[in-house]
Amino acid sequence: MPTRHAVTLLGGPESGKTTYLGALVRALREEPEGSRLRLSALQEDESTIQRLMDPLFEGAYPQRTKHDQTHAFEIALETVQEAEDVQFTLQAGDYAGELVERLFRRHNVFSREWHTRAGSDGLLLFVRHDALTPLPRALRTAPTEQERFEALKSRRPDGTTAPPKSTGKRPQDVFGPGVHMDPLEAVPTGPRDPVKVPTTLALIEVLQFLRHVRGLSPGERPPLGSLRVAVLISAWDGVKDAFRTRGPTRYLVEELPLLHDFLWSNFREDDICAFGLSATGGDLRDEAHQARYLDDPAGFVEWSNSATQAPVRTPDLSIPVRWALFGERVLMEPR
Amino acid sequence: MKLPLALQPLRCVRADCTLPQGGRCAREAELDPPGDPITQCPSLAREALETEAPPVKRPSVLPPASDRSIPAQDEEANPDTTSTGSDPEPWRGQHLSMSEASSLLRRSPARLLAVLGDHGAGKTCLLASFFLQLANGQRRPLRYRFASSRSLQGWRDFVDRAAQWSADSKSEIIGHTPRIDEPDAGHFLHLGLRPEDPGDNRHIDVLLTDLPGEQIARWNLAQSAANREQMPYLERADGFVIVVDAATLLGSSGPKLDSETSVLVRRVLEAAKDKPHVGLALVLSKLDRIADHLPSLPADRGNKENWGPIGKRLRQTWPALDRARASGIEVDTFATSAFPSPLWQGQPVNVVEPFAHVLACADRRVRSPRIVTAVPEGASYFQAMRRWESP
Repeated sequence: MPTRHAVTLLGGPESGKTTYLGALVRALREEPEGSRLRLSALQEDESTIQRLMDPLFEGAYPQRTKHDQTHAFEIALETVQEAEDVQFTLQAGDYAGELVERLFRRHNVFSREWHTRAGSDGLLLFVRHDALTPLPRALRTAPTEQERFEALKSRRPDGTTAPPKSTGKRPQDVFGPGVHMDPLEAVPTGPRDPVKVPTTLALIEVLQFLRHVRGLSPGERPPLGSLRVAVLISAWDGVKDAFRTRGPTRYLVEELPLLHDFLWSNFREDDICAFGLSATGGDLRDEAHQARYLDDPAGFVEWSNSATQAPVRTPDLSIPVRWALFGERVLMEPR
Repeated sequence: MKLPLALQPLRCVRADCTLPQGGRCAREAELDPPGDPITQCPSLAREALETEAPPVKRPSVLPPASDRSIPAQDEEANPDTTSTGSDPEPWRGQHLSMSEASSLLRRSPARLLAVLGDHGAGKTCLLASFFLQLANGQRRPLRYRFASSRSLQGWRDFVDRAAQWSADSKSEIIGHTPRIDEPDAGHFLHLGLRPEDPGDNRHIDVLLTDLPGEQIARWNLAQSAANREQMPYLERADGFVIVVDAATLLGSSGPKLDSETSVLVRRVLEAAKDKPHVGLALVLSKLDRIADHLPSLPADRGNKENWGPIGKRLRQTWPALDRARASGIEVDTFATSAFPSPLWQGQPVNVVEPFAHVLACADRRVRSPRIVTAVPEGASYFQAMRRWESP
């Protein structure tokens, strides 16, 4: 007997949900050999699905119309996992980022649709890679408060700070042994590092609402496998190489620490996974890449190997969806 | 004419009734005595939801139903909604009211931290900067991780205002905390924290007061019944953070500020007497403005001499702190700078430490004494595995 499940997409404005959906559906329509995910027979709403794919056929990003933003739509999919036929729906629609923001600001109270989607087996959280993300810093010990105080005293009258004086020490004595696998904690900031404004508060609030509807208390971790959360860092092709080599988990820890702490506190470790997502393999606004994409429409997904934290890449865009349904075993499949 | 929004959606089982559309009640003539059919007619009913939401287990952290304000359903303002029925919001996202805070405090192990200080001392800036450090993953030495918040929008309002500040000395960073006289006004920010120890499975609700300085000053200087009524929760506080503007302390108003602060410390002492594990953090704020007056941050913060000219100005406050220490309150002093520069130009100084101190005190638990076991001479491997410690 087929088992029914649901996976829900969530994310703020321009976070990449629509592009991912279009690229995923397009890839599934081509029925690649060996794919463990396929579209169910005809969809209820074929026109919306076609609207997702049409711009990609021309090398452009799909744009969701106002109609799409206000009406939920679902894609019926099926997958085979360990000889079990699983039918599920990929739900999206009224999670346009504007509505996430509106919920956050209480302009739209928790509706019946939220109740329905709160019962999903998995959540795909889309966060947009910030092009201004600074390079990760080499591991070092946290500056002492005295060092921060000294930095404070060296500020010029105009508020800027004087450049640091040379210590005459070797770089490794100052910055530590270099980047290496370290505990999952944000790198300590230096006195002159900027304070970053958190960008995931609205997303966290939506997650709190969804958990509330499921009857989960704050801090209560649901049973293993009952609710998985995949964090999809979109436009991963644009992330600096230093993050690309360290993997999306490291990005989540360093660039989205509040979301990381929230997920750690409220979900089991095995039910959280960060993915780097490039639905179109590059920036379609770049003419050279657009030409490549028209010839070979492919994207990729990366995640951090759980043992070594080294990034693993695959062109199979369905991996995050299947992970949300089946968990770690999807990532262990031979490629 | 349509009925006012507040009375919608009414429905009448009688087909000939036009009252829901603004007409007349079909049973108006039957009402005895004739009166308001909306309140008297038995055929009127509120329209049921098309579908019912699945039953949910309400977490006990929710305020009681009577405390929740249910927003009006205004479909014209939200034409994009496709729902025909919706639940009231379980929490508002803004500052918590007294009743909401009371509900949370009944749930152990909730902590109430009272952030006190004069108008303009920097209480709100300290709170905002503390939250920004949590959000940036810079929580050390706090031994907890962010787990939830019922006032995320309140925190975000602070963050947005701090992000817009551009070091113009004439503009306030966060803005003055307005005094709100309504009985159920929002005065509390909420954080849910989990201990960083994976073996500690608690979720700790932490309430932080965000009060206008004028209200605190009135309570401090005149313990009238009216003033005490406005801040009855202070006797329930598990920790206190007293913020003092260090720049003002070194100025001409310093002695007056010192005197008022000493009274505040004594008020705290009175509120916290006989309570175990209460922490008090004296925060000397706006360190960036007096950095030249302080040669270095004192290694031994408990010694007044180490605080240089600031310590000399605390002529009345320091003895009050000593008295608090003697009574069992764990006192520590911190110099902080919540926003020494715009966010993109540098980090704050010491904004997490005061909260780490008071939370560590509040979370202190009596530990069972360690078992001292001597390993006998010639012990087997198994016997040698037992811990040996010098008595």
